[in-house]
Amino acid sequence: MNTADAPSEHTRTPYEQARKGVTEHALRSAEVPLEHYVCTPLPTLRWGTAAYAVFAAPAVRAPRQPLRIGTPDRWWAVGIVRPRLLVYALVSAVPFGDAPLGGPVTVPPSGRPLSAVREDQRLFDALMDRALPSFLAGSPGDPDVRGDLAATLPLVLPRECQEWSRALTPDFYAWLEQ
Amino acid sequence: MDHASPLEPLQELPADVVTQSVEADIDVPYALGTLPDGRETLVIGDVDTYADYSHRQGDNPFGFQGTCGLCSCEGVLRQFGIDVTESDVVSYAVSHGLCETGGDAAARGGTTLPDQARILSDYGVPAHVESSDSLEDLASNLEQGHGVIVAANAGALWDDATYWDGGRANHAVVPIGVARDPATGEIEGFFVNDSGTGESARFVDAATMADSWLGAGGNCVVTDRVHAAAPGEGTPL
Repeated sequence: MNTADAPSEHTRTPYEQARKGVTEHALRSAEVPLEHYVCTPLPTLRWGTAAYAVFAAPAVRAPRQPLRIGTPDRWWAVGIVRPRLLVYALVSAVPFGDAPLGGPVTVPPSGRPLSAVREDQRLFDALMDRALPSFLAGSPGDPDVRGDLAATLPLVLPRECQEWSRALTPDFYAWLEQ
Repeated sequence: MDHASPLEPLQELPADVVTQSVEADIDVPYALGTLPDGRETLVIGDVDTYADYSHRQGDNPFGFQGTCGLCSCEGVLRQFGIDVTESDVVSYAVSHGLCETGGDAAARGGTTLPDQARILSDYGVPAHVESSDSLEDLASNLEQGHGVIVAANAGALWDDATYWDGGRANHAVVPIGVARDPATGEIEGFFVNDSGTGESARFVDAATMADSWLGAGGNCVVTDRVHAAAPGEGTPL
């Protein structure tokens, strides 16, 4: 694992802030259709520098109906040390995985209140802040934190999308599941 | 029209209602109305008329369902007297590369905010993209007569966790009016046309609008022009 530029605690932005920075990047409004589903940013070192990566996919939303997410058609990554755009690509031009991505998928309504989902996100944000230093340093870290993070991940990233996410940030999943 | 009008018949403002500071910047019709909870409010904007410019998205021959941005363009264009349908706008966007036409057929039709501004401009209503950090900015645009499309979070707007997506912007809607407290001028909420639900002039309280719009980045498309006042409506009460 490349840890050459793993950020210190002094240089790393809190995950919640970084998450918003990645998903609300100017690129998002300029290039990515508003209606697209954008996944939760996850960390990766696959490009030799610490980055948060996301994929985006066309989606259909109607109240009280399942969320339908098409095959991801683009992805981007923003640096963790310096929050600069590292890469933006259409999947048709630069795939982020070796295998075809498949899809569309249907995410059934969870039936949970919005307040509970916000709390899930808050918990995930906090766990990422605890887990990131270990991941970026290439160390296993606290197994309890990794376990909690793995258990919380499906609450902020639907299971139906996780194969796509795994293809985008394989090193993070390998670390999480070691 | 499939909405409950928030407007009562036009009436004189009671003598004890002081709205001078609000009125001073209002260039659109306004009248006293009633909020869903029964409170009296000052409804600013031609809400009854613009409520007719909304419908459930997906009414186009392409089978595209991801057309909230295009339906929002349609709604704003109709505010400016341009008689278009969703089909017209979708056809234009497809032929000019201004919407998504690849991938899952049902999810096609998505637009960026610059796409929406370009479509409005091409139809003769120049528009631009803005970012804001206050509801007063949005209210000001509406009270000056600008057409507006906001990039909102559907989960917060619909109170549906399925579409929260971390609170990110994922749905376009058209605010058509402002509700202010008649005594204090404080923003109580907005009236919104939402093609995702098909609702017209739905009242969205200020907290929900702040959460779903400002919390999702506060981005919007605003027309450069303002509406011409309709006959008899140019002078507020």
